[in-house]
Amino acid sequence: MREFQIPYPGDDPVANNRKKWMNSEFTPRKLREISDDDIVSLLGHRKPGTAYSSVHPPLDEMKEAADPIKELVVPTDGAKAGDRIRYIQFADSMHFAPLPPWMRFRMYGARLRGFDSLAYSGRTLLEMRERDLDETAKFLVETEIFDASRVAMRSVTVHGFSLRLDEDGLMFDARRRYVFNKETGEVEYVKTQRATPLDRRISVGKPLPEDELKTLTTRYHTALTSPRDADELIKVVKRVGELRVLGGLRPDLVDGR
Amino acid sequence: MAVDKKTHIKLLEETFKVSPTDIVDKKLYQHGGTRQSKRKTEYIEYANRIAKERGIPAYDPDHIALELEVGVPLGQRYLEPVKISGTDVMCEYEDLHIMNNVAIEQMVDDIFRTAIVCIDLPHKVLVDRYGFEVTPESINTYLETINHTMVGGAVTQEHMCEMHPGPCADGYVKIFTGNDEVAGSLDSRFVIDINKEFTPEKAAKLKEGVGDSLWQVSRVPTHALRTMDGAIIHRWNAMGQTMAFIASYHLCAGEAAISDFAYAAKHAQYIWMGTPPFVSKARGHNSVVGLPVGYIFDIIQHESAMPDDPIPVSAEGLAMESILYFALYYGQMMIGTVGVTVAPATFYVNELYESRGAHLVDWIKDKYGGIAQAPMYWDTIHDCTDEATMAAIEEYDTYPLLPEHHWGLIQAVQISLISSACAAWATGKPMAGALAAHYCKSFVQKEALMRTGWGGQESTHHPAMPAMTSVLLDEGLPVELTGINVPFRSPFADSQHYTSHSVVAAHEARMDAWALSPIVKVAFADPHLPFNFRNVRESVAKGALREFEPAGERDVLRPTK
Amino acid sequence: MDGVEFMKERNDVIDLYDEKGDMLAEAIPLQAISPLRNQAIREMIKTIKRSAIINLKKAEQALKTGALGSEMGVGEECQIPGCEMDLDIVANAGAIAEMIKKWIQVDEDDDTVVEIVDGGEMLFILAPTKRVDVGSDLANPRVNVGIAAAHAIIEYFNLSPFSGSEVIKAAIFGRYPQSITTKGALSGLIPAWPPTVDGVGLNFRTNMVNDIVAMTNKNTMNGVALSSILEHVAMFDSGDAIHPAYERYHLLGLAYQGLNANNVVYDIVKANGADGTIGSVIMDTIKRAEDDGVISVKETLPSGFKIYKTDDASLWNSYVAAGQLAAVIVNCGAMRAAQGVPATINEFNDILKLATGLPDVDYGRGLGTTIGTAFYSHNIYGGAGPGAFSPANPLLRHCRGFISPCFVAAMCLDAGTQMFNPELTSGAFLKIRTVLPEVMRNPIKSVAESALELKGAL
Repeated sequence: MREFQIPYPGDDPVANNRKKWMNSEFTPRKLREISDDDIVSLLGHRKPGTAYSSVHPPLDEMKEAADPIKELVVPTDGAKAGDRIRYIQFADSMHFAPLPPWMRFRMYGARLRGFDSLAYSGRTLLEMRERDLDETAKFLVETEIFDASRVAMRSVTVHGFSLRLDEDGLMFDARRRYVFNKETGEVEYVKTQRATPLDRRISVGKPLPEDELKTLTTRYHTALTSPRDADELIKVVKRVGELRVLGGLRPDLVDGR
Repeated sequence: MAVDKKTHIKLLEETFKVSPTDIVDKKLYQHGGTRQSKRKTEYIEYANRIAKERGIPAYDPDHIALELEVGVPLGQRYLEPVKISGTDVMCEYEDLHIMNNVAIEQMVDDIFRTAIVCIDLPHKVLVDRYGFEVTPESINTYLETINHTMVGGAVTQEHMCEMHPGPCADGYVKIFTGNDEVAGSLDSRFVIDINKEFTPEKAAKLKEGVGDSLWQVSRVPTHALRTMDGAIIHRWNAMGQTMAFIASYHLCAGEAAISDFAYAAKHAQYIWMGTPPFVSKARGHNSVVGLPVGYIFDIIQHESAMPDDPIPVSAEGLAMESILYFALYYGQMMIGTVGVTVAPATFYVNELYESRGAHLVDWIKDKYGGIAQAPMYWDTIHDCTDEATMAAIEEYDTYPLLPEHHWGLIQAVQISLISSACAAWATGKPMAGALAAHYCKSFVQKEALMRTGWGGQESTHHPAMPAMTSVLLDEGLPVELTGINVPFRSPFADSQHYTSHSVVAAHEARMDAWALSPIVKVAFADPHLPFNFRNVRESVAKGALREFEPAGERDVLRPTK
Repeated sequence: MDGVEFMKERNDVIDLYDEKGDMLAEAIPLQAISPLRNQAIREMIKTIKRSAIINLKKAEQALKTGALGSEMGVGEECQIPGCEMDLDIVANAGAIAEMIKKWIQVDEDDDTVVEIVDGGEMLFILAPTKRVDVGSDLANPRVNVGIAAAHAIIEYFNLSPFSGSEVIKAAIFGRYPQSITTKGALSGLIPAWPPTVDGVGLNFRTNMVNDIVAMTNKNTMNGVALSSILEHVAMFDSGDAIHPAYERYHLLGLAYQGLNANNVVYDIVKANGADGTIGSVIMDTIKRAEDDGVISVKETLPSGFKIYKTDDASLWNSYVAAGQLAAVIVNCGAMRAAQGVPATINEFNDILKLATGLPDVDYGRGLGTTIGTAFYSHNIYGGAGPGAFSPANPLLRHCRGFISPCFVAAMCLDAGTQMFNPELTSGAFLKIRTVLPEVMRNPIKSVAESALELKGAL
């Protein structure tokens, strides 16, 4: 990845966390190890060990009309091979999931190559060529982006991000894809993101303590850093908002402001 | 019930039966599934009977989710009952689905079956072309006649088969004018009396706005609207009106002057409730797509509490907008079936809007010295948006029950909506309110929370900021004139809500007698309408309790059981 | 002050580059690429306005099977027993074409064009300017050619009112006028058919993205150029570009995003092609704008955040548009899949505005448009993939010219992941590509050459 730090206004903990995710040099902490096969199982698109399916032939076997631009951009491994495009979708709880949807979306934009994404109110979709997705999913699930209790892999029936937590502190899931193992203190997936049963339970480790989640948060919160105190952010959005309205009438009304 | 800034939180506590600050639901997954809901239970039992009778499966959530394992098992979370704001009525959200509440359906029907036409031109035809006199007596005869023709009674031809009056009991015609003398000379059964229906101040303004013209309001039967569609209304009225003129003035049906009546009735001085939209909207005349949002304020008739309190009227307008734009257009006309979730109803339950409004009205008075006093600058729009957004966020952060009650896209819409109200109340300018809502969603709320609404929810908000005050062809319009047909509004239907609300809130703040048309305002001040536009929420509550009698029912025409 | 003076005062001069990053024309006045003056663009628009396409093979097949008047997007749902006719239309395309030409031309040596394509399967026709000039709308050449074709087939095969003349008409026009669409054998270079156009100023925006991709043979930068030209001509068509500030705004957008002016797009793509992300493209766009003097720091906040200002907001917008295109090429190019184009545009604009304190593309119209398109191209409400959209679509039309070229780029880069690809939706355009004028097949070079001719004159 090329080096960069995308600017963002503010010097409070939230602004600094946001900037961190928009820094190409930042490497999030790895919190757990999940095998490649388990990642494939959790995604639910194919069985572990099976070959990737293709939607078109490998690029070097295709006869395409000459296009200088295509030569400038290096395709991902999955694109080169002609892989199908698959998805992973995360639901992020309002109760201190590390990255709410738009933050997750922006982080993808900063760090990923060759992807498609969509931010909803509680979930964020990510689509990539399948082998690229497998690799990215590992990063997204093994590191501190993913908290076992407040972040979930779910593609169907995503309701729950704004509900109260269950008695084990986990985000509600109407499809019961995961359970809390009281003996080990770990969260275990019993179903794939698509809510189809897994052959065996897959642990995603222990949830982070609430206090630690609060230090990671990238949202302003009344009990932590209030949005009322985000002076620089408020100043910048106020400015951009006004410029949009002015420029909407005539572009040159923005000149010099 | 007196409302204060925390009323909605207290109500949540009562309905959820837990502390609103609890972050854990100890009974999650154990609330009883579908059977915790009386309505869902009722539906399941009813549907089982249907399936048995006809031999084809029907609605069956438990079978689909639990036995086939393909649907979501409903009711694992608490399905909270809600109190309809401004009433004491508790109900389930099912009772507020537009397809389950006959009062809501009647509200929509009453709006779009209304045909408003000025009858000055037909009178001019009589006087100028025929040399006849138009007198109070002749007008009264005409009015009796049109009340016969409007419900399918024949006047000019033998051997016409007529309509059963039973399903058309809500079909009738009235009249109004701003001229007290003329109004006083007509048969009072047919007159909408401006002096009776409005306060003296508003009546004076309305009479001036309406002027001396004579306006006719026809309520085409609901039965007709439902059999055809909105496009029939002006034609139906024209037919009934022309036949009534022919009969009551003894004209020759078929002479050239008759076409002048027809033209006058259908086109020349006719007010569309909904103008025809662009092709892609796939709707005809007189649908919600063509309704200019300014008419919302004109249609509601709730008593004002100004100069101190803009909330009561604003809340009534909000209930109507939520139904028209969110439940009807977005939920059913664009989507259909299950619709757009509980979202539309959240705007008129649990006194949420009233509670938030109470805080903001105090804030406005403190900061700007009164309602509708703030200058129309970006600073004002920003400050109002900022306060409304931050206050709402503080609530969501402090009371976990509230985000549970307002899941998903609802929070995002609620925050933008209250921002719209705040800026509109503060300035008395609809444009301030509209821009505040769009700015809130695009920036203030989004950057604070890193979360907005459904996947396309911001799609109108971003372009609305430059577009609303531009002069480009598809863009700028006074807010009162805008509506769903405006291109950047049309695919993102929930955005209508904020814009129409800014109109209601601003015009109430200004204590205006109307927002777009004095004629529409008076036309809906009609106590005979099945739906009570003076008390929208109360009428909706009646529908929720199954105590509302809708019009157009065909019981007299179907087998008695 | 008019547009020319407005732009002269600002010293609006650009260098035009080709798709390989080589310079084609240096120090060109901005006005030289205006549709009001650039001959290549004017020829392109005239061609479009004169065009009609008859798919003789489709007509022949419809008549053989009686599959007339179908309204479905893909496939035929109607088949009328008793309407079948076995006519060798394709085999006799030459004779039919002669008859059509004779009727539509005004003078013997006028500019009527009738090209027989693919062995007679299609006719590509340009009605004469003299006829089109007295027409009232874009339907004029099409309806004249369509009815001429119907008469030609009827006469050639000796049909009468009793042997199916009205059936021939349906083969050409589809179910029109019972339906307001025309889905038979007749079409044109742009699909705008007046009863179905959703407002005013949209005619040049009605081509699907795939149509443009087909016409330019999936050449990314030429596809972008053609799309951008049509989009900004549409802005001239709808009154958007009438104020001098707006005229300049749109010409700058066309220059920098559509025509790779000053090589901005190419340079950023090249720098990011191997390992760049949308994030790095954003940073390169900001840096390029700062280096070129388009933006400067207005204020530095206590955290070190720089709020930028611009003395030329229209130029800033065109740099944003160029950077946005570069982001699409890098991200969708890496994926060799078009589906991520709305997401890429969302990312670019959403992040950029909070990174600079300056507005995003088209003052927010771009971001809103693609948030909507992203949603509807991924959900249950009837959207389809990027290639099937046209800028006149209710979802895309809100941005005034800066989104479609990016969609075209993405579809050019797509290696075959889309269901609704040019082969399925725009087969006619693939076929008639060979007879299109050079200005439409290679717009970058053509526009630059015409611009050079105006250098010194403006």
